[in-house]
Amino acid sequence: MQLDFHYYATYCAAILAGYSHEDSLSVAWSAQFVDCCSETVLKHIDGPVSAATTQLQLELMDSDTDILGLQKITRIWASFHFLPGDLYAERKKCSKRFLQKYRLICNPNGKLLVDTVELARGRGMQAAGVAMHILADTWAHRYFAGTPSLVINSTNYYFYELIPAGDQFFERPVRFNHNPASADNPETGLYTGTIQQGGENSIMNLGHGRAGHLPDYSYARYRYLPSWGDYQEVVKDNPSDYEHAFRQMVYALKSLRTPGDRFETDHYDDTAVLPWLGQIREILNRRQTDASADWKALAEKISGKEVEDFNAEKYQREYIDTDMEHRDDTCLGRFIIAALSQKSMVTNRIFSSGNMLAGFSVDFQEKGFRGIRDYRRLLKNLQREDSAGSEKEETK
Amino acid sequence: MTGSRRILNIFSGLLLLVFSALLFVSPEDAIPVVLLVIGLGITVRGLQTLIYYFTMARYMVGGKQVLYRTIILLDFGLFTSALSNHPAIYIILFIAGIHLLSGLVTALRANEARQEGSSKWILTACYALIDVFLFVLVIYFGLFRKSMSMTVYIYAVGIVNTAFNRIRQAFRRTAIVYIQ
Repeated sequence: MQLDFHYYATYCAAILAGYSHEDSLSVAWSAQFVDCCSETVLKHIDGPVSAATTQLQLELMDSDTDILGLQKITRIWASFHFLPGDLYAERKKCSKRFLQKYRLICNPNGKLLVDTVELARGRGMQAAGVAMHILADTWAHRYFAGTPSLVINSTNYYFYELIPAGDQFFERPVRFNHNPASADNPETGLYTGTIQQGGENSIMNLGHGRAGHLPDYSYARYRYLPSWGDYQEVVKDNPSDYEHAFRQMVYALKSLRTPGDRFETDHYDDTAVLPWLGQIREILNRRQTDASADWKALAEKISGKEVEDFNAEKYQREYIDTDMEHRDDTCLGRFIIAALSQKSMVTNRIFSSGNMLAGFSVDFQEKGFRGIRDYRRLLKNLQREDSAGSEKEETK
Repeated sequence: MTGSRRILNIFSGLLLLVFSALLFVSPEDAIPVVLLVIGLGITVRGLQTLIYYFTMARYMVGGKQVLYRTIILLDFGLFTSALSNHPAIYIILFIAGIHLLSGLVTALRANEARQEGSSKWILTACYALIDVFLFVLVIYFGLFRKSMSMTVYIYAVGIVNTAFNRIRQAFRRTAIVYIQ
């Protein structure tokens, strides 16, 4: 998914869930900033690099692909963009090594999604935005894993786009070129994808790189053979998946602002979305690689307010100018804490399932600190939350 | 990185350093050993790929390609090991060829990095140039000056580089993510 959905559609979902214009903008900004918060940006603002929620193409090219490098990549991409659907998935006749990668395949409505949304409960708009990004991506990025893997993420020449023609669809083979500078062309069916690399852990085999940006376009319908799929083709219907993502976001955001509620999988909002469903479907089905203008128009129609364009640097100055002691209370500071918290949770779940692909996870209360210093911030915030909670109890 | 992996990295790095030292001490006698090591290296790589095929690739669509690659690697490894009985010219051409191929591949990577706008393309291009330079050195000294020593020295420098990389990796700090 791209800015059009992560920013403008998330704003629409927040408004429909009953959030104010300002809060909806905060949720939408945080959802989109997940795609911008790289180590480069964090270094620029003197933030903790462990809070990176994405890696720029250049960072990926420069990253090591030894065990430690791969674990770092997996922590970022599995936590924020390819949330595993089932960490205990079974598959007959395969090795443990294969199974560990297979279990990282992203899918919607997994147990980790519940943990993700619940982690955001009571932690403000920034945490809600991070959770919405992850939720939406489980629909767009399903069937791919957030770890470099030839055996999971590769595709081959068997790749066809299904293009609507009246009541039916016609098929057209998708052609991929490997020049990252060239633009995708929905009219001719020429898309950019990563080049075939024989190495299991090549960066080219990360996520949906081999399928190019097709999973990111809401209009796209296609069928292909995922390399993990045992020669069973998969039909990906993005308009339907994106609609589910939108309705689930509205449900999740409503749940987050309802005290005592708990997010459940396979629940989608109907009531708030219904009046706008026709227009939403129209946008989702339009063959365009960037639907920002359409979503923005709809967002302004729904809220009756002007929706500012996304600006990645919006809160950076505030963060830089605030003293170290109070940085975590700024908008960007809260985003960073939410990111650390999410990465910590997902790494722990993967580690606890007996899978070392995301690295070690340690309970800092039992073991103390030996590793990444950045996580002290998370501990400090959790302690603050705990003491605030205790004070509340005492007041009661 | 696990502790055993670190120990393995340090151990293999030290072993490579000892081997390269031997090459510097006695270059002329080392040619058959060099070829044996190269051949063994490629064969081990072939065996690793074979394990990869059986544990991973055979479950994926089109995994047979990995098996074909394995066969080629094993064949190449055995072929290299067999070269020790051949005249020095083949050995020189073989080591020169490895550097030329490596240089060309690295140059392609540098070009790709430049197109991506990465600042590291200059460093990668330097590596490519070094490989091509080593190719020229091997050809010049091996074919025209008939000096096998230089060919072995060049090979030994490559080994030292690999050894230090292994040891460096072993000392990289493991990231531990905390949870409460």
